[in-house]
Order: sequence, then structure tokens, then C-alpha cells
Amino acid sequence: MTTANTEMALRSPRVDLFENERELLVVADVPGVPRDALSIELVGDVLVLAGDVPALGEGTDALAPYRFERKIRLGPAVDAQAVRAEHADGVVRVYVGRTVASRKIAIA
Amino acid sequence: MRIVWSGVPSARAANCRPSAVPRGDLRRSTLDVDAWMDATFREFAHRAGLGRPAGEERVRLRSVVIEQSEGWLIACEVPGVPRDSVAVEVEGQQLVVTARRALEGPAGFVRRAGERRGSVGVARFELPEHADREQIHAALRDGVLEVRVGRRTAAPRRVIAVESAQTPTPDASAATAEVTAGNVDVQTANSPEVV
Repeated sequence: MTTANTEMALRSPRVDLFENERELLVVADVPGVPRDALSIELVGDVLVLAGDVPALGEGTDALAPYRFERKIRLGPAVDAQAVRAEHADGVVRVYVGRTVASRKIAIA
Repeated sequence: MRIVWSGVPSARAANCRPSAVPRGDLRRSTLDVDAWMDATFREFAHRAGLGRPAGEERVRLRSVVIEQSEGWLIACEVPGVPRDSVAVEVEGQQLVVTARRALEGPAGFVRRAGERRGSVGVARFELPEHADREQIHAALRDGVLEVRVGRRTAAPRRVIAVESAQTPTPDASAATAEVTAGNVDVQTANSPEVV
């Protein structure tokens, strides 16, 4: 019973994936997650986004808190040292550097 | 706490739908029917996309309404919407939230996969009968719009004196009437003072 009461509901944020020759860009909707409750990790080639949404309302009228979590596989050509993130208006943007830029191969 | 409604806004929401069954006198009935037809056709126009600019993708905002002792708290998820792109309006009996956002990536980036939907999000809520339209406040925080609607306090109780249609005798007792919901209760008191 205690475990059931302390378990937090889990939601998966919706994401968009963009790219250019130098970077991958992951954009995720995380409404309600404060900046300091947002966690961004790159584990190998998997980007892990997680965040806790605090209770809505006050006291006994509050709506229960819940958690966002999403894992996105970016592929092997990522540079773990070139990662930066922005957070604004309930959206997080994570830029991940690419180690190998795509290039066209000319047919001889 | 009572969650009045949670999910996609709809005129079917409990406590929120316009009265579909006219009650009271003829004028009241006509007003009820007018409000019901307005809401019905507004919902139809919304679903049919009438008046919508080409290329605009509309979605219903994920929302929740919580009834509290002091009023109602409406929370709408509006990720990616800056403060100057969200509008909260009262239209007739409805509270309407409209939020606009850009889904395009930065210049030079190409979209490879996408799940985020809707450049325009809309939510409509029927205001409860006791909602105080002068006490509506909205705040935007971390992509969540919180709209607080105050509850109108009940009108103070009135006690109305009932005067006799006959010529009062000097020692006649005064009568008072206490008006309660739907009926009149006449009490005779020894003192003419209305309490």
C-alpha cells in the first residue's frame, strides 16, 4: 500500500528531431517541469530526458505530481563532449554534436 | 477537491454544459435555447475548421479543471508558447484559451522526425453559474497556463415585511415574511421589529 501511494505517474514527452551537418537537435515538450527539476543525460548514444512536475494547486486541493521521462537513441555518430541544452516556456532543446558529417559520395 | 473535468474540453463536461432543458418562464426558456444553440454551432464551427487560416494546425489543449473552495483552477499545457502568444477571453458563457507556437526548427536545421503537434491550441470551458467573471486571473509558468476563476458569493439573505392590505388597528400585531428558496414563510411576531 505504501509503495502504491508513493509511486509517481509517468508521462512520455513528445519530441521532434532536427539535424544539420554538425548537430542533432532534440526538442521536447515538458510543460510544468521547472528548470531545476529537469534532468538531461547522454548515456552512450541514448539521450535521456526526465523531469518532475510538481503538484498543481495548494494543500488538499492539489493535483498529484507526476514525472516525464523519455529515452531517444541518437545513433553512434554523436560527440558526447559537444552537448548543450536550452529550456524555455516548457520546452527543452538539446543540441548534440555529430562526429561524422554526412557527405555525398560521387560515383566514378 | 473535486476534479470537475479532465481531458479534452467538451460541451459535454459535467456542470459545464449549457442548459439543454429550458426551465422557468418563456423568456428564460428562450435564453436557454439561444445559449444552447450558440454553444452547439460554435462547437460545430470549431470542429469543421471554419474561418481557419490555411496551413494552420489546430489542436485541443490538454487541460484540467479543479474545483476548489474559493473557485476553480483551470490548467492548460501550452509548451513552447510565449506569454504574448496566449490569449484568455470570456465569450458569453465560455472561457476561451488560444495559444500559438512555432514548431519549426532553427534556421539551417531539417526535421527528421516529429511528434509535437499543433501550431494553435484552443480550449473552451463553460463557466459555472456561480463563477465571478470579475475575478479571473491567469499566469503562465514553465509552459502551463493557470487560470483561476473566483466563486461569486451568495446574495445576502433578505427578510421582507408583509404589510396588511386592511386598515391596521392600533394594537394589531405586525407580520413578517421570511423568503426562503422557492416558498414564502409568513410568521406573526409580537413585536413589529423586523429581525
